[in-house]
Amino acid sequence: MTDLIFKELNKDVIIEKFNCGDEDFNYFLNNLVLLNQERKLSRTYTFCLKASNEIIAFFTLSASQLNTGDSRIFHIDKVPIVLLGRLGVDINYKGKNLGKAMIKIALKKSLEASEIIACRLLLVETTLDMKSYYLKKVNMDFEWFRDRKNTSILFIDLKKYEQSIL
Amino acid sequence: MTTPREKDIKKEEKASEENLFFDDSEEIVLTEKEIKDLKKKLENLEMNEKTRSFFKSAHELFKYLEQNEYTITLEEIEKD
Repeated sequence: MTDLIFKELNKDVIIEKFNCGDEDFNYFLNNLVLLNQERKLSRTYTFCLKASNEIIAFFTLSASQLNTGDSRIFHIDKVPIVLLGRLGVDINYKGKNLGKAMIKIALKKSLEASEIIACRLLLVETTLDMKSYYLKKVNMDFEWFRDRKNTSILFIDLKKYEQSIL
Repeated sequence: MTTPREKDIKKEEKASEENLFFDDSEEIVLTEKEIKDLKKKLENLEMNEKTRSFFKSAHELFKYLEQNEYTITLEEIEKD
């Protein structure tokens, strides 16, 4: 059995050994997540090995908005959202449902946040090759929103999530 | 000569310049069509059983973590 602990990122967590196979993500985790967290620009949550405190998976959340430009939706011109900015799993632990588990936790955290400061959507910006994972391989009710140059934007309606657990 | 503190500050500044987290964060401005589609989706709170069951399992996973001091085995996650 491999015991894991879910925790918010802090200075005691061992980051250096993490490798998700993507240099940008590894760099981000090693150099920027703690800075962003200290500056209150994003919050990072992790799964760590309980025995060694090494990170094996992480995701980041921050507040953002969708701008409706000159038009309005429900009489507002900015839809408040939670942005799931980064999600990574160490290559030695891929294929073990950690990504799905982290999406579930991100949903719960987003709903909790929305009870204090309203936000309607959990938005994910994923790489194009992961788009079908979110939309087809797992039944998470992600809706496709828009493709950008290298990424795809998807969302889950937090209102629906809230309704399902009432 | 650069002191260790100055080195830290430089490292921090360098990292800030390269803040990948915000690389793709150009503001999303919705088009008329996207606004129409989004409104329709947000008004419709219907969901199928698979989605409902996913949402419930999300709720249950977090409850389990809370009850177990945020520990879980990899095998339990894999089974879920």
